[in-house]
Parts: sequence; structure tokens; C-alpha cells
Amino acid sequence: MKRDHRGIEDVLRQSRPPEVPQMAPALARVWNRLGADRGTEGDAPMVVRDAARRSRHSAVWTTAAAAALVIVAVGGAMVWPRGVRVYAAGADGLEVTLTDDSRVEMRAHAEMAVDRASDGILIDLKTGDIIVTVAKQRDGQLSVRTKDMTVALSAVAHAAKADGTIALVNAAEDGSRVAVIQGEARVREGASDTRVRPGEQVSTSATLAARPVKEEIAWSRNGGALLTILESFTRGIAATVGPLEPLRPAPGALHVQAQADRNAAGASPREFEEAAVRECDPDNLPPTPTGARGGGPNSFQMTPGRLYALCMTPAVMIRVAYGFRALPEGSLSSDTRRAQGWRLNEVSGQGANAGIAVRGAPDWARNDRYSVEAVAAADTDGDTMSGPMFRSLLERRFKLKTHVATEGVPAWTLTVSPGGLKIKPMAPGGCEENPPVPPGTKTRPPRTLEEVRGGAKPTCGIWWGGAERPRGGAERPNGGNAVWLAGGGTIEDIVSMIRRQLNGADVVDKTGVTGQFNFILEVDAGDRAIVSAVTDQLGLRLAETRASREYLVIDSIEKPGPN
Amino acid sequence: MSPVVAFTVTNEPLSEELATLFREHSRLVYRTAYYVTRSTEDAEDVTQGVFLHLVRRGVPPGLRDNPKGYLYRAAVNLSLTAVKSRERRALAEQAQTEWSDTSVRPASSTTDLQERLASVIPALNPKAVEMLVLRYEHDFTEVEIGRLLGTSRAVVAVTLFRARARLKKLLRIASGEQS
Repeated sequence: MKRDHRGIEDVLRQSRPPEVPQMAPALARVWNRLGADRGTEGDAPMVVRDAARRSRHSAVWTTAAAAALVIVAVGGAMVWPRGVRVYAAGADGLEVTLTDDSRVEMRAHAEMAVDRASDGILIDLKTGDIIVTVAKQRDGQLSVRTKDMTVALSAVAHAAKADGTIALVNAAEDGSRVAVIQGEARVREGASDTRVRPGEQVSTSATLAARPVKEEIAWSRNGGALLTILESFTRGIAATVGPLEPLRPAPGALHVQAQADRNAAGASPREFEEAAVRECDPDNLPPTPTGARGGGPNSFQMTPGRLYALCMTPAVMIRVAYGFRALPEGSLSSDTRRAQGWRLNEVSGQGANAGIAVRGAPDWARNDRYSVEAVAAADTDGDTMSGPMFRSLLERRFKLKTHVATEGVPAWTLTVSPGGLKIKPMAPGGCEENPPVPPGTKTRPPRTLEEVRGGAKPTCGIWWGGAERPRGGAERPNGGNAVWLAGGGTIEDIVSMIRRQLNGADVVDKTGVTGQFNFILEVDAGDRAIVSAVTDQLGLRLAETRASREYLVIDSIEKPGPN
Repeated sequence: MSPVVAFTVTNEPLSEELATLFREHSRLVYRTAYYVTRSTEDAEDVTQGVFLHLVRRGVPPGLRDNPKGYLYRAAVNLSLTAVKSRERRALAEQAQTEWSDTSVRPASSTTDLQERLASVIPALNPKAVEMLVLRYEHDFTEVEIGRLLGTSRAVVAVTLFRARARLKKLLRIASGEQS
């Protein structure tokens, strides 16, 4: 019997380090460094210094303490003293956190200065590479200026992403270059203004060769995760997909004629030039990197001119190609279509389940996995590759025939009850903002249900069960009930809560109510308990109606032959 | 490259309050960081990071309510960040190696087991790690953990139970067994 099968508690106790080596001197060094940087070295209770560590840490601080105009920093991260120029010495580069929580990672030997601009923060990049991660919740703009261009970086990259735009900016003797990893950048070079999206690069000089983004970020310590996913995916594709073969025209003059017509009309071709489709060995699937959603089986990626599907089930491929969302079983949402396409250069984990929007597939199409690699013209955009071109490939190789059908699903309208609202608009300052916390630590838990019921102001935001988990978090029942605690909640927040309780069903807001409210909503475990709860507790009324939604029916599909 | 944090220079003396906090809690912070990171350098950096934030930003209100809990949570979170950062660097260095080179070898000794345990703990929810380290490194009871982290004993018990179950699963995966 292996050790793992013994009580895990025994394992945990056995794994306890018997002693913590050198704790006292380490703490002394920490205290000294804290004191040294505040000019109070005499306060240090213990004076034990380690030469190696001092050279790594304190050299930076001593230099800072000297308040020199140029800081030479070795291997670390800094909270930025604005207006001071920094040079990343040593081989490890430097991480800088700006006052608005945006982060700049400097490659070794990069040099820059940070200063205030009329519209936000301006990074003046003298030389070298930096990767800028713009804080999502920030005021103003963050710009990077080199000698021949200015890059404005957007704070908003994607609703689901924690950070704003992430971009690499390089300043060299010959010119400058910007590559966007996430989000969007606007590059101003002289009178021209160019928008750069993820995976794209712009340079000011033809002598600067474009390189793949993964090569560009290889030096970054934070690029590791992205690189790992990227590498894992690439290896998986290499291990599972077959050789590329030219796609023959589909039989039938109509198709050929239609293709010719599109080409003659100048429309972008809707067929991949080459493709490979091969079944994956179910006993030898490529692994998913630890902690990542993408990079393993059922991952999908596009790069300029290429589309990859790594060991995906045909049903999931069909969902991706036809632009449907992965709605779970039981969902009543009428919104079955994806609002956005897939971005280039991002590896996305698609999951093994095609969801309820794709129906009629035989079992093998939901269980067997195939890897796909397809090649198109380099300038083909992602929406075209993942949409019409991928559909065409599936139709060709899997003999796929489909049609779109509609069905009715329950929906609700929300109005104010005849008796009027039972919640009152929140007074200014009626909720308590969570205080800022040091980076890397968790937000302080919000006011609990008991505290708020006892008269305390609720913490601003929508909280499940009155503690710990912000919006989108898991439900925390209160004696079997679901409880929401709102500080400054809006009617949109209420609609969102109701939708969650009603399996994603559409809820149309016809209340005409605006403003913010503090309220507690407690709902018991019944299927539609939310309906009576909002009436009794909030003074709102839910009336059932119907909505229609689309789904895709697979009429026929065949296992693909060899390439 | 270890995380080091520098800050804007001022000439204010370190406050007595900070000195008290450091004196009373730095050992807990360091030992916690060492349990999670298994590295004296990372533990030192984490300790430094935790107190440096206080130096720079002052003592936040939430800390005065429960300084031990606040500093402990900060230590766990910074430690997890340090471990993940270290793993990312290691993975990036391995990126060019073959599949076989990245497979995890099965456990054969206590040291292996400790290493594997240390490697899978960061995959847990930070809240679970907070409770796990208090329980098995600092020998807190569930009631004491709840008191320190501001939650109930029942929540602690359930979180620890789930964390142990997840650890078991992660260890099985790490040892190459089929679950």
C-alpha cells in the first residue's frame, strides 16, 4: 500500500519541516532592511547581515535611499517612485508596480522613466523591452513613449480578465516595436494611428523583424504560464495531428462555382488551403498543464493563418465552428450564441461537453477525439477561420449536415409589485467600501449577515450569504437558504441574481427603477422560491412568459477517413 | 529571481506599532512561508514583503482588528504567489524538453512524498491552504483556526475535509496512479 493511501493527516504531519533553518538571522536581515530603507537602521533589534542577500536586496534600497535620479535595480520588483528613471541591471530584469497598480516588467538592461501625463501615466522607454500590464480599474490612460512612437494601452481587455491590456514594447536603436498579448493598443507614429490586437505586432522600422509573441515574451518571468500553455498545446498538436494535405475541391459544380464567384468578387476564400484531421488515442491523450484550463485535450487555438484543435470531440468542434455557447444541461437561457469570436494566439480550453446547443450527435461524436490542424492565408482573420472555414472543413471531412432549430423556453418579466417597492434607495455613503489591501493578499471579508442585521452598513457589492465570496462566487447557504447581501445593489444586480436562481432564464427588466439599494434577499431551496421572495422582500413582481432560442441539430455526421 | 519590493524613500522612523507587529508575528509569518514554499530564501522574501507593505502603506484598519490573522493570510497568499512564480519559471525552462522528461516520477521515499505534497498544496484554494497550514504546521485546533480567520468551526472543518480530499486526489495524480 502506498503512502498516499494512508491517512492524509499523517502525510501532512510527516511533511512538516522538522525545523526552519536560519529563521533568526533571516528575520534580522528583514528587519534591518525595513529599517535601512526608512533611515532608521538603529532601530533594528538584531544586526545580522548576509553578504549574498545584501547584494541582492539592499543594494537596490541603498541606491534608492540616496534618492539618485537614476536607480539601478537588480532582480526584483518595485513599487514605483514616480519621476525617477530606472535601469534594470543584472540578468534578471525588474518588476515595477505603478501607483495605479499597473505593472511593468523590465527586461535586463532596459531603461525607462515614469511620469504623470495630462491624461494619465506616461512611461518613457529609453531602451530595451518592457511588458506592461495595465490595471483594469484605473483612471486615465497609460501610454508608453519611445523615440519614434507612442502606444496608448487600454485598461479594458476582456470582461472576464483580471487585467487590462498586456503589451510588450521594445525600443531599439533602429526603431520601436509593440506586440499585444491581451487587450488592445493604439500606436501613434507621426500622423498615423494603428490599432493593435492580441497576437499582432507593429514596428516603426522594416529592419525590425517580426517575431512570434511567444518568442518575444520568453524572457518574461510572468510569461511562463502563457508559454507553458502554449508549448503544451503545440506539443500536443505535434504528437496527435497528422501531416497536412491540400484540400481537394468538394464534389459538385455548385460548390466550385460558388467558390469561384466569391473569389471573383474579392471575398476572402472560405476554405482552408491544407488540413489534417486525425483521431487521438484515448489512452494516450496529451496532459493539461497543472492549474490551466487550456493546453490539454479539447483545447483550441488560432494563430495567424492556422487553426488548431487538440483532441476535441466533433460535437465541441461543431459548437465552436457554428458559434454556439457551451450551455450546461438544464439551462433556460435563450442566448445560445457566442457574442464574440475567438482571439488569435490564445489557447482556450473548450471542455469535453458540447452543451445543450448542439443536439442529435451520435455517441462517438461526443466521445471520440480528433486533432485538427488547418492552414489558411496568413491574413485570414480569426472569425473567418473559426467560423465559415472551420464549418466548411467539418462539413467536408466529417460529411457533416446540420440545421438550426428553435424552441420555446420559460422567461420572466420583472415589474414593481402593485404594493410598491419594499427597498429604499441607498443614501450617499450607505455602504462600506472594502479597504485597500496589500497586493497579493485577499480582500477583507465583507460585513456578515449578522452584522448587517445588527445595524452595520453592508460592504459595497453583492455578496452571497453575507460573507467572503463576491459576485460570481459559489453559493453559501444560510440554514439551507441562499442569501444575498447587497450594498449599493442595482436593479441589474437583482435581475442577475434572479437569472441565476432560474437556471439562466431570460429576465426582462420592466421596472423602470434606477439607483442603488441596500437589501438582503433570502431564498429557500424551492425551484421557483425566488419568485415569491422578490415579491415579499423587495416589492418586485416576476411574471412568466416565453422566449425562443436557437440550437443546432446534427442531421448526419460520419467518422472521417484518413487524410 | 525572487520577489523583492522596494518603495518610495521617506525619513519617517519605523513606528513602534510596526516594531511590535514584527516582534510578535514575524516568526509565524516566516514559518508559514517556509512551510508553503520550502525555501528559506522565499520565506525571507515573503516575510519582507508582508511587512514592507505595512511600512509603505501604513497599518490598515483590518489589521488592527486581527493582526495575527491579517498577517497570516498575507503570508499564505504571498507564499502561494512565490511558489507559483517559481513553478512558472521552472516550467518555462522545461518547455523545450520532451513529454517523457516532464512526467512525474512515482513516490519512493518520505522525501519524495514531502516534495510532492509541497508541490500540490499551491493548487488548493488559498483559504484552504490558510487552514491547512494552521492545522498541520502550527497545530491550531479547528476552533482556534476559526477564531483567527474569522469564521466558524464548522466552516473550518468542512474546508479542511475538502482540502484533504483534494490533496489525496492531487497526490494520486502526482504519483501517476489512475483515480
